[in-house]
Amino acid sequence: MGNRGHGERCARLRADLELFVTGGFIDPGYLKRLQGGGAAWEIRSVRPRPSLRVFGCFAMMDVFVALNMWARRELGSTKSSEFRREAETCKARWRKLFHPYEPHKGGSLRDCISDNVANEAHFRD
Amino acid sequence: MSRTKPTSETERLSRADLAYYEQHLRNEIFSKVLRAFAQEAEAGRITKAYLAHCLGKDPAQITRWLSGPSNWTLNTVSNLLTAMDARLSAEVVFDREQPTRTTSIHSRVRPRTSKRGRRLRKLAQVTRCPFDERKEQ
Repeated sequence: MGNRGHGERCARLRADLELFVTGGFIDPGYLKRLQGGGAAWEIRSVRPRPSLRVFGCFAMMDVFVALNMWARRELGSTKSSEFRREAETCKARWRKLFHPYEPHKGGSLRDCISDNVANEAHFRD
Repeated sequence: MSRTKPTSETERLSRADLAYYEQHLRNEIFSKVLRAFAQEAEAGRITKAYLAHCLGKDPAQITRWLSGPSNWTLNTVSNLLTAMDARLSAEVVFDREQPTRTTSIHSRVRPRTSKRGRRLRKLAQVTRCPFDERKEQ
């Protein structure tokens, strides 16, 4: 991707992140907990290609701390070692930055976001 | 600021600026439609299967639509809202005093010395701002 394309993709990623910051509606297609990743979550910025993933943890309800970012194509399937490694990276970076505080733990979107959030059951197949 | 004739000081919008606002608008509309669906589903008034049946689509297609705005067109918005017996109310607001667009958001990619962007920088906090409070700000 050239500089111009890179700039445009960054701009779109920023717009996607601002959906969270400005209190937009959050659904499971946007924010997803990493499988087996403990307290690690990913924000998905899908289009245009390359699809991007921003990884991080919640410090508390409504406060997401982004800790890493990858292009989706670098990560393999959702159960791949790359995703597991990313969960470990999040854990390690969190410890480095915030030890002894633990990240906020929650299994569903509603455990981490207080308002304007989807009930995941309505969005599943 | 006059917008009738371009002068030597008129700044051309960068492609990154345009991409940012395209995405912003896309997310805003997606967010509104999804919130409407979620509210109706929560109240037990609608399901994805119902939408799929009304629109003559495969339920998997509805799932794909509801999982991200990337492939949405204006027709998608219209179809989903029509199936929900809803419509989108939109209005155009001019930000004449403080232009909405900014160039500073891409400064890491292409540094520029524009003075725009204060408003968006203010928005870029880590904490999620609940909708109701945002309206009051």
